[in-house]
Amino acid sequence: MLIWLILIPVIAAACIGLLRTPGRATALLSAGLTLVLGLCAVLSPTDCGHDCLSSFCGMPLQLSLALPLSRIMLLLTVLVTFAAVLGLKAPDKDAARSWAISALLLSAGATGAFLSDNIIAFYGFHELALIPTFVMIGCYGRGNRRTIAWTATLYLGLASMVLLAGLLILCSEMHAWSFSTLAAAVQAGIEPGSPALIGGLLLLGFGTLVSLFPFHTWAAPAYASAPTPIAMLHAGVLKKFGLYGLFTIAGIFGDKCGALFGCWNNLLLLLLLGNVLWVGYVTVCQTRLDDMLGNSSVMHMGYLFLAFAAFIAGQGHNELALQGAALLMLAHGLSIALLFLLTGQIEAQTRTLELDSMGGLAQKLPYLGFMFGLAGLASVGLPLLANFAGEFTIFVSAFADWVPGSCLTTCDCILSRPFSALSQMLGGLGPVQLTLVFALWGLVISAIYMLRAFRHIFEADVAHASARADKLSLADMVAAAFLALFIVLFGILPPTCL
Amino acid sequence: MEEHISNLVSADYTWCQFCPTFALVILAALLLLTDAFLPKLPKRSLAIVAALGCLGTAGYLIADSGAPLTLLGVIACGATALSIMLAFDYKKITCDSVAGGDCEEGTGEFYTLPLVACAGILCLLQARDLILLFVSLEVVTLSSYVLAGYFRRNQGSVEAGIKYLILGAMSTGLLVFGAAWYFGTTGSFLLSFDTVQRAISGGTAASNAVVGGFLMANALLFAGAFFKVGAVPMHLWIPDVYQGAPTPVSTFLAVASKTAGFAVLLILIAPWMPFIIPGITVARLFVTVFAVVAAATLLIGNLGALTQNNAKRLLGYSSIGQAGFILVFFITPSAATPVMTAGYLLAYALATTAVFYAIAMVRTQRGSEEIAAFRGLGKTNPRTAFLIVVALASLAGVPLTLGFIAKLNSFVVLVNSMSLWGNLLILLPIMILCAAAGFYYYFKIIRAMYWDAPRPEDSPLQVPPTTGIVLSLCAIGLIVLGTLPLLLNW
Repeated sequence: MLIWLILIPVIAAACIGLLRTPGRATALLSAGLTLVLGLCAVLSPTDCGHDCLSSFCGMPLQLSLALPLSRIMLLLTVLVTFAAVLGLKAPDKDAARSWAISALLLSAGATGAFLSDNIIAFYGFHELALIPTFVMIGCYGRGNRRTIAWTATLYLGLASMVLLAGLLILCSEMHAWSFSTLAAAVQAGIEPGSPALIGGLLLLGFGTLVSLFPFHTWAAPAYASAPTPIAMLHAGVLKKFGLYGLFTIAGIFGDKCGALFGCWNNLLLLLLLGNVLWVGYVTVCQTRLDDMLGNSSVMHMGYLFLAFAAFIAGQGHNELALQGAALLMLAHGLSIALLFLLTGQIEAQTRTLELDSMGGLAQKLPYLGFMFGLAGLASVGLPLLANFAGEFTIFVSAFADWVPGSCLTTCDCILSRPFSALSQMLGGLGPVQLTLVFALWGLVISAIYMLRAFRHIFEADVAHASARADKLSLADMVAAAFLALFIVLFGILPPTCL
Repeated sequence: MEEHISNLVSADYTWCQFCPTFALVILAALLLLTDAFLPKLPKRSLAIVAALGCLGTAGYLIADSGAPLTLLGVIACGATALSIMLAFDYKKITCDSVAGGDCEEGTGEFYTLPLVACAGILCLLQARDLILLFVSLEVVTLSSYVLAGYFRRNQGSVEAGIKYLILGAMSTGLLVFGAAWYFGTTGSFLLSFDTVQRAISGGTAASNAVVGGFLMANALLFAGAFFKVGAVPMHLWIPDVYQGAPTPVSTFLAVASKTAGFAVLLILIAPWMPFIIPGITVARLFVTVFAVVAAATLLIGNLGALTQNNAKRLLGYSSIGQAGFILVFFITPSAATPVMTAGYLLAYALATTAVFYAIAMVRTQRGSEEIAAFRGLGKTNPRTAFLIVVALASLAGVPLTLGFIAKLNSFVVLVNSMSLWGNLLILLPIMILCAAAGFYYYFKIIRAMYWDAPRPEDSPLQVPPTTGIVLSLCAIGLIVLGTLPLLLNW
């Protein structure tokens, strides 16, 4: 059954491309089918596991839902895909076809990556999903689209190669080429020969894909430039691939994950502060809505890396960090997708994204204002909305195993000295806790830019650009409501059981 | 005396081994005679018979045995058939550049000579001694010289022919010289474990001298083989010849002739395999030389391709770069090397042939082989453009295509051999850089097809049926063979 989650979008894309069926309708059909199938798979009982889901005509497949994060990522993928396709609005018929094909291939690639048991397939599906991103930015992007597309191609191409090298060394030293055999190898006590090298390569490769500071400069322009469905799917879903990979591999190594990533942990903590604070300030300075959202998405990745660092510092026992990361990945994916969707609608209404030239849109389109407010507040981390659950869990998890005066990261490695000096000054806070204290300011920063953007766009007098606003189509409203519904639902009932 | 010589030369060959070779030679002779005696016969029939002959031989080889070298034979036969069929689509330009105008006269050999070359390749695959190896390799090369310079009214083609001839003659010289050293140091032309073992054992002063001479012999022989595969420093001819030669011939050179080159390398390297282990002095030298050659080939091929604007020249550099990835298999040869080489060559052959077909189509209809001539194909011919994208993506090593699996193998082999030869770690960043460079230059064509708007005077390309079928089959092959291994739990 799992194979259909990949095959349906691919077949639909082929129909649109080769048989010239109408783009949006075919894509909607495919996204609807995968939504239903995906929800069934997500809700399927865990003990059914491998046999009943991952075979095709009797042949066993290398797809499974056995990994801890698979279900939640699958859920995110099908939800965002459906909303992206529902809200798809292309300039003309040909463009609609290309957009639909790209969105479907992107979603198929992401689904494949999140379900693959084979490590090479896991890598391969992600690469496949990147291609439509580049093509779409290059063909239909806003602004200086070709330069942006090339920058992203080079960054991500190189990062993928570094990642591939890391994965290959890992697999070859562990003699395991799938996550399940890797887990078996770890159980059997096999240890990689050069763990620090592998950890470094993985962190650099996955990190660049998730726009870890200072390798983040490709991301914000790319999201700002990409057509709406592509920005939704890439920022919302595909970017989580890197964190999914890091958490999965660290989770498989369990209490031995310190060998791989431990010595990079302090460096990672410093870099993620770069994401939260540096990129945070960059975000505050943006004057265009799309640039601001692109940067904000980069900024929030810092919290996910914080969860990862806490997981590693807890030697793989910090279940809370994993749980928090899962929730935040889901929540951030939904909220940023909704924000990009609304950005597309705002642009369609006002034909501009300059914050200064908009204003008073809420008077013309109160529905849009309400949705944007909801998504913005979710992104800031307001309680009872999905992001809060994730962020709060991560913040708690940073203190999970902490006893005053103890330093969680014991290994003597990069940056341990400055951290321990600081730690003694500050009442024995460990590196993770120290970082958290600084990273919390990110919440304030995101409140500043998000609320300011809301004020600029929706409040005050009706500006010239907003006066053009007409009314939203039903599909626009439903697509936004669909995502908003899940943001609220997961805020009240965080899906911790998945 | 006669018996003595035959002991020196022959491995235990049987006539039966050479049946496919004879079949092709006889077919080629018949076609040449037909062309000579029936000049009015349309050349189309010659081309079709020749291509069918090649395909038939390929089928026979598949049915015959699954030995890895036979796989190379299948690839070579298939590639020859495809280049002959491409030559048929290319008829307009062939006629124009050979006889002038629309006249088909004197173009018969253009369709039959590839058969002779293909027969040479099949014969080569059976060689277990240097004489047969050399003779069959020369059959391939001589036919290729003629073909490369076949368009005598086209300056580029003539230049390509002469360059190829002169540089090729030099490599032939190296090969013969190497064979002489080989015979001088071992007293035999046979390529066997015993010969190598005796030659490299060393110990006494006299046998140490033998080791030196034997290494010299092998260096020269490998240099000759490097010329055929386009490994640095014997790569200089490739971009010029690929660019200048008629496109069907470039296809033949890029695929079939390169396959022949790797077959030579495999045959030469086979007796060495048990000796490439840490601890043997010669092994260290061997690994170093191949690692350096592979690294240089990767760098020069892939970085050289970055700045190219001519699609054929780009493919020339790309073929050097791809050879670099294949050479990585040869650094630490093992029993799996022939299979992996064949696998990589299959991926390379399918994709490269498809791209050459596309180039030929663009050349005949838009009159240019520049990358810019692909402009707007994504708009005017969306389906064809997509098939070309698949081929290019496979060359670049995009996942879920066969090219990815091939490149992945190359990385895996390197990572595995790093456990025995730690210094090979240096190659890893080079390979990463080159693979990333591949994304840049192959995507240049994709970019031209999708990002550049067609000019007002550009009408949609008329896709000839052969081209359409070949492009579709190649693309389907690349995707199916590239996806199945990852999805199915085999």
